[in-house]
Amino acid sequence: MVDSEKEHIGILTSVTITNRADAANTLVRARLLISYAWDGAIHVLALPSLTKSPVALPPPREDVFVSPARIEGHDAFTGWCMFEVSEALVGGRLIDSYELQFDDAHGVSVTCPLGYLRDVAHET
Amino acid sequence: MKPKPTKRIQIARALFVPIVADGALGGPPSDGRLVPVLIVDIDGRSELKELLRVHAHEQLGAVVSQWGASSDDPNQVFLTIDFESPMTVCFAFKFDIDTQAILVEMILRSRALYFQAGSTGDLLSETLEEPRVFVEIPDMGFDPVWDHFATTRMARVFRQRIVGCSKAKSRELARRFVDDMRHHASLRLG
Repeated sequence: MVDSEKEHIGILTSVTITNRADAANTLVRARLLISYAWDGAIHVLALPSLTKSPVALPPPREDVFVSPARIEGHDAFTGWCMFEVSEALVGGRLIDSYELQFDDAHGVSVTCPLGYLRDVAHET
Repeated sequence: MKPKPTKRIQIARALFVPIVADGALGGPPSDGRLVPVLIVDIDGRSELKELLRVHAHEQLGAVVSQWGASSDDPNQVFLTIDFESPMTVCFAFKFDIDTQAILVEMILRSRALYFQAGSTGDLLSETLEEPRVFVEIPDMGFDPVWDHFATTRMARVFRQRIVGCSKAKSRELARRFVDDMRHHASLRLG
């Protein structure tokens, strides 16, 4: 979703995070990793999650990921992660991938690709 | 007593960014602290060019830093900088105690540094408009380690440079040198 006036892209993504361990755990950070190629190398933007919707359209439910987020053992969090990407940050760069990364209180990171439609066009 | 290392790490040569010039900035933006500016050669380092570009748009970020001392060369200390956001970039600075101790001291006093791109011979006063990145370097318990390395190294330098200088005299000179350096690094500009 693009806010043309503020020249930024709002990214809202639905997530389900499960804790399969017996003990509770805490997620301390969620980041959006944007990989792109430039000047012969791959670079990675790492943007923190937001607690407010960056675009006029809010998430369909109120469950927004806010760190730190405690998840009990054998429990799960289902909700929304929200990010804002300034056009100036990625303008002119060819995006290679979008990934979500979560870090827990033990320093363990989990990264998963962000599923999204790469392009949508009118059929004529 | 020589401090024991808390952990040993290897730093890839490719991570080091050469410091080609330096300066310091002080005033209200840095709360009066005199913050050193490292002018670094980023030729061929596209990740640092990108970091400088991105930082101009996104000035808040998260950084993990780590001081270290060389196990091979007693004249060198290192500072690794690991940017976690807005870009993931890792690099390191190498400081020669003989010639760059004041930079280390200023980073430790101000708990911060700036870096910007440049070339040998650049003057900060003539490159004030260049984009630069401000990095907070929190207290990691390195101060007493640095004090030991700086005084030990400078005592050795004085012994080498002053004919007939006793160990006791060289230690006294080194202590005075480090104290003076600390005084200058602690200056605040309103």
